[in-house]
Parts: sequence; structure tokens; C-alpha cells
Amino acid sequence: MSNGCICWVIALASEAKSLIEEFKMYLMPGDTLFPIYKNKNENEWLVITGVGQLNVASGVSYLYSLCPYSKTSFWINFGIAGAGKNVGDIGEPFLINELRHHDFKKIYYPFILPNLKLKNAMLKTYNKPQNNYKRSFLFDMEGWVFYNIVQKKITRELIAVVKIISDNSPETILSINKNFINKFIKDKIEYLMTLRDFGFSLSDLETERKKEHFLFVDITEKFHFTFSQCQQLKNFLIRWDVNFPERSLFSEIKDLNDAKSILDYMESSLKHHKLKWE
Amino acid sequence: MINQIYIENEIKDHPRVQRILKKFKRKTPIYIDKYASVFNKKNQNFRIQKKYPSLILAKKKGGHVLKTPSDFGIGNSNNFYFSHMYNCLYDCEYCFLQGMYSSADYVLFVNYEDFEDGIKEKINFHKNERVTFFSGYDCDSLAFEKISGFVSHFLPFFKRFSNVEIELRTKSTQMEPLLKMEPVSNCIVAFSLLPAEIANKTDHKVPTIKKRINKISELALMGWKIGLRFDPLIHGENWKNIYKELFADVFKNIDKKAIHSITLGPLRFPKAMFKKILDMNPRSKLLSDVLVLRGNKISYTNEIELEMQSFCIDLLNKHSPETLLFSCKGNF
Ligand code: SF4
Repeated sequence: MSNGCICWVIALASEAKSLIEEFKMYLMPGDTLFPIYKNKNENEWLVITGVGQLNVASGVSYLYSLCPYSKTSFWINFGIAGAGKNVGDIGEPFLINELRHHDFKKIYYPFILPNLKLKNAMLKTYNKPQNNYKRSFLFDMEGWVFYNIVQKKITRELIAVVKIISDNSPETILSINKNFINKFIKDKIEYLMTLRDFGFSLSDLETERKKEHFLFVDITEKFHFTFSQCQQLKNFLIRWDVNFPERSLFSEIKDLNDAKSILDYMESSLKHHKLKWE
Repeated sequence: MINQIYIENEIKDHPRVQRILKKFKRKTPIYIDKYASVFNKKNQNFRIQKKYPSLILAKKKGGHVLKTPSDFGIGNSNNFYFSHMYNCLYDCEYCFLQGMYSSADYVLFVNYEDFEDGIKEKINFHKNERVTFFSGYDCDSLAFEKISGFVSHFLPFFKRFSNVEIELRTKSTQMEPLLKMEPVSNCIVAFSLLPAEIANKTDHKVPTIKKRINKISELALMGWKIGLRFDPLIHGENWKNIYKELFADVFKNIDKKAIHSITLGPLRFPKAMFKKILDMNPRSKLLSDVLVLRGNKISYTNEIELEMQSFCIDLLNKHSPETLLFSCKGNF
């Protein structure tokens, strides 16, 4: 089973409905600032932020503070977007490879996830709804802001923006309603499943890399370690695992009774060990 | 495998870019203003990118040719390096590029002619002196040849300057351009080598030591000048025996007359980069060894370093003339 986690950031309830059902998430009980859904294993979270930049900014920060794995999660902003007539058809999903903002110069180039079978396109985020369908890109009211916030908090390879075209002409915008959105998202769920699988695997890698050693808490709860001793212990624990996979550290240090003697013991064992390359 | 291609707007019509794009017909490039808007941003993960690297085609502006650190050389007193590319197809656990950049994407600078101007400038400045230029400082000189055409372009250029040497540093066995041309007398094809037992664990995606030695032997027979780079020297149980075997293997298979120079270098990391490298690869066996802070570098203790150096020098001197041997102290 993957140790990864996914965090979905979605503006509208109708955009989230199919995902919530498909991925078996339930509404978190209690008084939350935004509707938050999560699955039974608590490794998939979803926030419904409401439309617009302020909402998405607050929604992201809220979910980030709530989800215990937010730092190593794979973050996805998913939703509908308008698009120029020539960009694609209604209901067509896109993985965004370039993010622009109407009011800001900064351009982001999200990490491209390989083998997703999703077309790539540029997305531009505006303050207000748009209806100029002569453009050669997708447009929405959240994507850039989402990326701008999340990239400050976590590694960029764990962030994706995926949009489905909801309108590409003045006529098509009239047919957008809850059922319509829900239906065409349901039709494209397989693409989101693949993205999600990939997201889990990348998040798993990051979790593994940042994982605290399983003995760290046990040892530091038993004895007092200063901050720098904690850093040293973390380093020694990993090196111990790499160098002595067969040796049980816990039983070797069971008679030691302070931080210094534990660190001295580990240091001396590591120092006298010669790496075996064969 | 290239994940995505980014191209700086300024060079989008450059013939070299057009030629490279023909090799990736199924990719739709993304045009960017400057390579730094994709490469080496904050909060990027070198390890994840290494699995899915993108190619960035860019124009190098300034700093085309730089002086090497003072103890880096193979006999000449004027030593320069130039980097037409950042990052490498291979993945070695001791590679300092992991600490230097937060991106593993390949940046290929296509304005080779500007590098040539920089090189000519240095040559003119040191007119009657011997000068060595090193490529493969921030990448492998040959591994990306099929796409970059770097060696095919630069060897004919260097051939024109007899007071100059060019070193191509590589672990690749892709020698196509060299096998197709007559040996260039002022070119040294320098191979980095480690005992196979160690390389199997530290050099990922890299041709095996056996394949490297076979390729060196082939080039030597053709008449190419060969550089042997035992850098970094890596410690561990039984290190003396495995280095002894490596040297024996190398000198049994390679025509000694073809050897231009041999260098030794200790395992070292710039202090500022080590934490980043360890953070990205905390479970690396190599990095879990006893490494200490010495000045501005992280390395083995002075004692281990000296012991390895003198043991290897003694052995190498038995195999080849002392004059071919250079050692690098590993200063940054
Ligand atoms: S071959 Fe050289 S440049 Fe490439 S990863 Fe290995 S050490 Fe780094």
C-alpha cells in the first residue's frame, strides 16, 4: 500500500461530487471553515473552496494546516475552465503546463507528469469570469493562485493543475449547470484515476525520504535530547540502518541511560565500521 | 527518456535547436523566456526530476570559459573548463551536481560558437603557452552526444590549435563520433573509473566498469590518447585489494603507450552542498560512511585520504611512468 497522500483543491461542489463518490470520501464532521472531505485511510483529502482567488488561497492554506501529511502530499487543483474554440472540445481534460495570471507577470511551468495521456495546455487565471473564446489557451479564476501558494510550501513535482473544458463559445456557457458538470467529470474520471495513482507514487517517494526513523520518538521520549543532539540522533539512526541492517539498535542500547551515552555508542560503532561493497 | 522540452524564445530558430527537435517529433515544446524560469527554482526535488528529466535548450550568456580550481590539471599550468551542458544522464551517488542544482533537468546551451569565441580568446591570451581545456565538468562529455552533437562539433575546432589540449571527461561507452574519425592528437578521452564492486553500488545508469575498460582499450588501439581518472577514491572494507584488482585489470587491457595521464582525486563534497545531497539521498551507503568536515569540504579523514592516495600512487607507479600521474587535492 502506498504511504502517499493526495490533496484535492476544488472550487465547486458539483466539480467535486464525482470524485467524492468514486474515491469514497466523506465530509469531515464539525465546524470547518470550508467543506473538507477525506477517505477512511485519511490519505486522500479534498477541500471545496468556492470560486475565485481569495477563496482558493484560503482553502489551500486551510487544508494545508488540517491534513497531517500536507507537506508530502500530492496537490491537485481540479476544475472546469473556459477555453478558446480551437483549444479543445467541451469535456476534454488538460494537464496544465504553463500558468499565467492576468495581473501578474510571474509565469509558472508545473512539472509535467509523464505518460498520463492527458493533453497539455496553458492556463491563464483572471479575476472575473471571461467570455472571449478567440484565445488559444484555457482560462479560469483559481489555477495560478493555487500553484503560487502551494509551490511555496512543498516541492513543485508534487503539484498539478488539471482542467476540463466547460465552455468554448458563448452558446456553450449557457448549458453549464450542476448536472452537466457532474456528468462530464464522471466521463473523464479514468484520467483522474491515473493522475491520482501517479500522485500517490510521487508522494510516497517524498514521504519515504522525509520519514522520521521509527526509533526516533521512542528514544527521545525516554531520554532528554537537546536540539542538536536530536539532529545527530536522526543522522546516526539512518546511518545505523544502512550500515547495520542486521543489528537491533534497541537491544544494544537498552542499558544506556542518557542521550550522550547513546550518541557516543552509536558514533563509535559507526566510526569503526568499514563499508562492505561486495 | 526526455519528459518535456523547453526552449528559450531567443534561440527557437537556431539550427541546432531545429536539428534536436527533429529527434523528438512527438514532443510539443514549451517556449520560455529564460531557462532559469524552469531550472533550479526553489522547492524542486532533484531525485524526482532525475526519474523524469526534461530537456531545456538555452543560450549561455557570459562565463563561457572559466578557470579550473588551482590543483586541477594534467601537466599544463593554464587550465580552463567550459560547460555546454548542466546535468547528466547518469546518476552517481557522489556527483556534486545533485548539490549544486535543485533540478535534474538537462540544460543544453546550443550557442557553441560563443563557447568557441571564449576559448579562442583564452588561446590568444596564452599564445605561446600550453593550455588545457576541460569539458564534462557539469555534465558527461559524451553521454548526450546523440542529441547534442557536442564532440562532433568541437573536436574539429580544437584540432586547429596545436598548443592546446582538450579533455573529454566521460563514463559513457557511446563513442560513435570518436570511432568515426581519425584520432585527434590534442584530445584526451578521459574515463572515470572505480572498482566494479563500488561502481555497481554507486554509479547508477552508468555503463559497467568492464564495458568502460573494453571501450578504452578499443580507443587506445585506434590511437586516441587516454586519460585514466581514479576520482573519487572510495574507501571501504577490502579497499586495497579491490583497487589492486582494478589497476591490474586496466593495465592488462589498455595499451600503455596510449595513456596520456592518470589522475587521482579524493572523495569530497563542498560543505555547502553536502547537506543538500544527503537530504536528497539519506539512505546512500556511500554517504553513510564516516565523512568529516575539513575546511570547506566534507571528506574522509586526512588519515584515510593520505593512506588511499599513497597506496594508489605506489601501485600506479609500478604500472606506468611517474610522469603521467597527477593528483588532485580536491580543493573547491
Ligand atoms: S557521470 Fe559524472 S556528471 Fe554524470 S552523474 Fe556521474 S559524476 Fe555526475
